Amino acid sequence: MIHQVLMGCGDFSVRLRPDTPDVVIDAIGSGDLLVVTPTRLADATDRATVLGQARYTGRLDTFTGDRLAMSGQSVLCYLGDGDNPSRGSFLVGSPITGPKTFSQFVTAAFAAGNRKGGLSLGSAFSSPATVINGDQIADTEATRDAFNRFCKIVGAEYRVNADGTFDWGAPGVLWKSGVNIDTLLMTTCDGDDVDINALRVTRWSVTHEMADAIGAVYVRGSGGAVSLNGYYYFVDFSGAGFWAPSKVVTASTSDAGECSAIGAAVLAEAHTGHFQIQATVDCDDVGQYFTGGQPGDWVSLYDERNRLKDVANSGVYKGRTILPLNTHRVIEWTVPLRRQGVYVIQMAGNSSVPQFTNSVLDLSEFFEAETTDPTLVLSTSNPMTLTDAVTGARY
Amino acid sequence: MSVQFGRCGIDVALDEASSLSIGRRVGSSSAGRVAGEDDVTLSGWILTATQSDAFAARQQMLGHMDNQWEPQIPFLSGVDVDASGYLVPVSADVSSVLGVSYQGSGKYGFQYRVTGQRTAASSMPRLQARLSGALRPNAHSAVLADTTPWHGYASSALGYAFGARGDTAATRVGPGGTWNHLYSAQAYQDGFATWTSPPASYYDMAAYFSAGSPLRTVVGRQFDAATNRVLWEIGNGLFKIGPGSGTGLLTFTMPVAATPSVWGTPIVLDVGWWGGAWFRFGTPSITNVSVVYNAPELCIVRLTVTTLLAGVSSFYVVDIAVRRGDRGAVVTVKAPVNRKWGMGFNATTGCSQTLIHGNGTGIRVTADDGDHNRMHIFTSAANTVDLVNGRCYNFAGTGQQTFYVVGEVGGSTSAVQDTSTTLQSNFFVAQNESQRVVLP
Repeated sequence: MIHQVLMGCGDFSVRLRPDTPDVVIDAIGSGDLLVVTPTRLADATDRATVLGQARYTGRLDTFTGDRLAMSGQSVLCYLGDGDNPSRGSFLVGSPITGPKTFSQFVTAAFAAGNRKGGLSLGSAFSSPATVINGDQIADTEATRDAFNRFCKIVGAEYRVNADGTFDWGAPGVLWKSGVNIDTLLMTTCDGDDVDINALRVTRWSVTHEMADAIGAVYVRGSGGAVSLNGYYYFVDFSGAGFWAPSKVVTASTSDAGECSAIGAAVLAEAHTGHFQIQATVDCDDVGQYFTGGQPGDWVSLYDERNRLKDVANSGVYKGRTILPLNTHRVIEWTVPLRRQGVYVIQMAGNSSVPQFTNSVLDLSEFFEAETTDPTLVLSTSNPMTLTDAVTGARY
Repeated sequence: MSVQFGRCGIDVALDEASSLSIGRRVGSSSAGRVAGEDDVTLSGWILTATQSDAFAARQQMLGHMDNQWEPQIPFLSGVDVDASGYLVPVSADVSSVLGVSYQGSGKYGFQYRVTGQRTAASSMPRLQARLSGALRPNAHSAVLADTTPWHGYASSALGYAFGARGDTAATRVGPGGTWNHLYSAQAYQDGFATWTSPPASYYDMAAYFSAGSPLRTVVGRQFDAATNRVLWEIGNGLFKIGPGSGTGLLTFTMPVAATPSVWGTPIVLDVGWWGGAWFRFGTPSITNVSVVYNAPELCIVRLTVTTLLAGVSSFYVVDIAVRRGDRGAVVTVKAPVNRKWGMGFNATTGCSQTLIHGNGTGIRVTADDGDHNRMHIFTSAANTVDLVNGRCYNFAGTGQQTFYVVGEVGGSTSAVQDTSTTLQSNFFVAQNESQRVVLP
C-alpha cells in the first residue's frame, strides 16, 4: 500500500510472503530504498534502470513481524521527515539570505554544501517571480519547512519525483491544469477515449462540511495586523443579513503584504468549507495518468448525482456530452500493491560511509499482493493550511 | 401467452414463452429499488421461426443483464395485468440456442430463466429524465441566449412534467410514430422531467441501435461486430443513419415530408479531412463498430474507420450520438493526430452557408430535395465551406471536431421546431440525458 500526499511524505507499507527465503529478508536493511515500478521489469539489474522506470520511491524505516512487514515514507522525507519535520535536511552551514525568488531559494538550497540527501535539482515550471526576504526562512529550519513556508507565501509548489529529482514552479504549470487536463473520473465510463484518460469510479465519497468554514481572517503579524473580510454564508440570527465566523491567525512576519497574502490564502481555502471528495477507481496503475506519477494534477470530475458537474463546461467523451468539473485536483491517494514490480536498492559500505549499491533486490515475487482498489482524495485548493506553513507540515 | 422482457422481442417474433412466476420478498432498500418490493422470475422457452431470430432474442435478453445505461426495464405478461411492470434486471440463466427444431415443431429457441426486482409503484412508476445542458464550446460567438434546449418524449407518456419553465410543446412525426417535442426558451436546460409510461409503450420513440440482416435491435453492448460492421443502423424513428458505400461513409435517411410515415431517399455523407482535395486518400472503411451507450434516451456508436494515407493505413473514430426525439445526430470525429476534419455530401449538392452572429456555422442544402427536406451539417468549429459541392471543413488541424448532421423536414415549409434556425440553436446547447425509474 502506497499512500502519497501532495508535497508530503505520505507513507507506504509492504508485507512479504511468509515463505520468502531468509536470504532475501536478511538482505533488506533499514535505510534501504524501496522502489515500485508499474510492472515487474525484465532487465531490472541495476539502480539506474529501476529508478528510470519507478513510479514511487520510498525509504524503509520500520520493520515488524519477523521483518516481513516493512514500512516507511516517500523520498521526499529527505527534505524533512513526515512526522518530525525538523528532522531531515537543514540549511545550516550556508544560510540563505537576502531577497530571493523561490527559484533562487531552491537553487541555493540545492547548492553544494547543503544537505539534501542526494536529491538532485530538476526543472522549474514557471516559478513565481515574487521576491521575499530569505532572512525570514531562517537557517534553523528543515529544508522542507522552509520550502513549504516559501511556497505558501509566493504560491509555488514542488514535487520530488521517483527518480529523486526535485521539480518546482507555479501549481498550474507544474501540474496538469486547465486545458491540459486529460484525466476524467466518472462512474459510468468505459475506458480511455482518444484524447481522454478515463478512470472508472467504483465509489464516490462526497462530503460537504461547513463547520470549519470561516468568512473573515485577522492576521496578527509581529509588526501589525491585517484584517480580511470576504464571505458571509450563514443566516444572521436576527433573520436580517448574513454572518460568517472569523479566525485569528498569528504570522511570524512583520511584512503587511505577506500577512495579507497569508490571510487571503487562509480565506480562499476555508470560506467554502471543506469538500471532502474521495473516489475509488478501478485501475492497476493510477500513476501513469499523473505528472510525476504522483498526486497533484487537476482532473475532470463528472457525476451528476454528487453535483460534480459544471454547466458552463461541456465536453465530449465517446460521443457523449459530459459537463465535467475541472476545478478539482488529486492531492492524495492510496494505491495498493497488486501486480507492480517492487525492488529494494540496498545500502552497502561501512557504517560511517554507507552508500547505495548499484545492484537491486527484486521483491516482485515475494510481496503479498493487495486486493483493494486505489482511492484518490480530491480538493479544490492547496491542501496545506496556514498551520502547515507556520508550524510545520501536517503530513 | 406472451412475455416481453425489456427490448427482448423487438424485431424478433417470439412464438412462445411458457411460464411466468412472481415471488414476494421483503428486502432492504437500495438505489432504484424499494423495500418490500417483489422479486420477479420469468422462465420458460423462447421459440422463434428461425435460428437467427433465436440468437437475436438471446442477445437481447442477455444484453439487459449488464447494460448499465438502462438500470430498469419494463416487462410484460399477456395474461395478468398485475404481472406487468418495471424491474431491475438481476440475472439470466439462458441455455444454448437449439440446433434442431424444438420437439419437431419447426421452431428454434432457447430455455431461459431471468430474475429481477420490481421497482417502486410496480407497474406504473414515474420515469425520470435528468437533463443537463451547457453551451457547446464554439468558434461562432454563440452564447447561451442563442441556444434552444429541448426534450423529446413518447406521445404515450402520461402526466409529463418539467416544472414551470415556459416551455413550448410541439410534435414531430416519423415512420416510427409521433413524438412529443418540448423546447425551451431557457438559455440552457437543467433539471428533471418526469412522466408515467405503461410498460408496453416504454420503448416508443426510443433511440436504438440495430445490426444484422435483417436488422435487429441490439441490447447492451455485445453484438457480432465482425460480421455486422457494415450491417447496422442507428436511429430513433425520426431519422436513421447506416453505413455508406464507396467513398461515402454514412447514409442518412429522413421521412418524406408530405407522408412522414414513409422513409425518404437515403443521402450519402462523407466524413474525413481536407488534404488538398476531398478524400484524395481513398475510400474509408469501417473496420469496427462498438456500442458506447445504449439506452432509450440516448444511443451512441463508435465507428473505427481506416483509410489509406499515402500508402499507410490511418485510422480515426466517428462517434454517432442519437437522442430520442432528435431530427439528427451529433457526430464527433477524433483521431490521435490533428487533421482538417470535415463532412459533406457524397453527391454534388448545392448549399448555402448557415450563420450565427455573422459567423459560418455550416451548410444547408439550397433547394428542397425530392422528399421536400433539406439536410444541414453544422459544426461548432471554425469552418470553410464548399457551397458548390456541399462540404464544410476546418482548415485548422484539430484532434477532434463535432458536427450536427440534421434534416430540416419540410424544407422551406418546415414547422417551427424543425426550421434551420431552431435546429442550429438546438445544436449549440450540448445536452445530456439519463433516465431511471423513481417513486411516483
